[in-house]
Amino acid sequence: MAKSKKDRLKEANAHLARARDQWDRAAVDSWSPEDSAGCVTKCFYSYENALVAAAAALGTAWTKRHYEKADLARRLFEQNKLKTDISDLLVRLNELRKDVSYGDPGVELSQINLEDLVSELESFLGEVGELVSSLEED
Amino acid sequence: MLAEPTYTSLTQDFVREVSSANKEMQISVILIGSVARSTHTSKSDLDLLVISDRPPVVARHPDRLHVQALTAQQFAERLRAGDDFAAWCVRYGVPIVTAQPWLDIVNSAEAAIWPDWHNKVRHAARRLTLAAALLETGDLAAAGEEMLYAASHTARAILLKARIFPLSRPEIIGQLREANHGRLAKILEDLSYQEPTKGALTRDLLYVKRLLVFIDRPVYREFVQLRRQHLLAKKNHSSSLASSGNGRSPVQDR
Repeated sequence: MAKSKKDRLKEANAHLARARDQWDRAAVDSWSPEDSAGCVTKCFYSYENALVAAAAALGTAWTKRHYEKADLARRLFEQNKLKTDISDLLVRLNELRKDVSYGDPGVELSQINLEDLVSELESFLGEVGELVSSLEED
Repeated sequence: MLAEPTYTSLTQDFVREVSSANKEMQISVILIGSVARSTHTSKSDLDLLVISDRPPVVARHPDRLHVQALTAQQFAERLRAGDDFAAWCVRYGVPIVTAQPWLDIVNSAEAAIWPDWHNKVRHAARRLTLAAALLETGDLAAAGEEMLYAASHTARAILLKARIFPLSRPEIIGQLREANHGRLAKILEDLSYQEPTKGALTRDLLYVKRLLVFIDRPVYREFVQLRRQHLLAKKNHSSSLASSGNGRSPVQDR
């Protein structure tokens, strides 16, 4: 059964709050001395939660699979529902996260500018926050 | 699960791409992970290792394909450092394309080095910390994934310490049972095939932490102390920024 708008927005806000909490923790990881593996992993999940928040608010179906979320990100951007296309970033962050899962962080991870990553995530959270707010006002 | 022809065509497409992008290089492509062991599940990706004489160019690949690209020198260094991933690739990797650098590695003395299981304790402790942080945010799916990594690293530490080489993740469950680690086997099985609950994840976290302390107390203690030092350094760093800035510490803001 289709969810009511109220339920969808409630779900969206829950995911957005989780995304903000994860961003907050990722930001701490980006401070010196950096924890790049922790920062990238938390940013990845935060992006995913923000994306799910947008999908829930718009009433768009989503799945739990990471690669399908990247497809969803591309679709929402192409449909002009989201201003930023995070699909490639999601794939890249997932790759980096998996590289770490095998053991020690690799060379690619050490080359990432964590402050930029966290800052771009903050902008995306702002964009999704505005989207959810605008739907609440409708 | 991806159909077998899909795995085959993904591999063939990748081999074509990587070969044409690195024409002057000696490239080897090795099938690794659960697909190489024919134990893949619905969640399994196709994992490939690329080994070359010089840093290779590896283009963006489909999302279900996970590629690790290393030079032969980097790979040999990992073997020497007792890295279990590299040792796994040498023992169980299935070559799709073979060039001389890979053959040299397989026949080298480094190929026979037994992985350092202490490393796995460090890796497990790191993932456990991440799982705990994600659980605090209420993201059960994310915490479950990180917990699965933590439990897998812990399982590998236990097996390597007992001189049993850990196979693919689905096979490790059976290896653990045979080594009388039924509870960790159950945790791995549940995390692999079921939706995690908050209660189960909390119990798993505590159990795996206890196991890590039991397996290697000095290394676990060293990890915890290092983490405390890191957090303290962050706090001091942010305090000094705050005293020279707006007077508010980012740590206090959290």
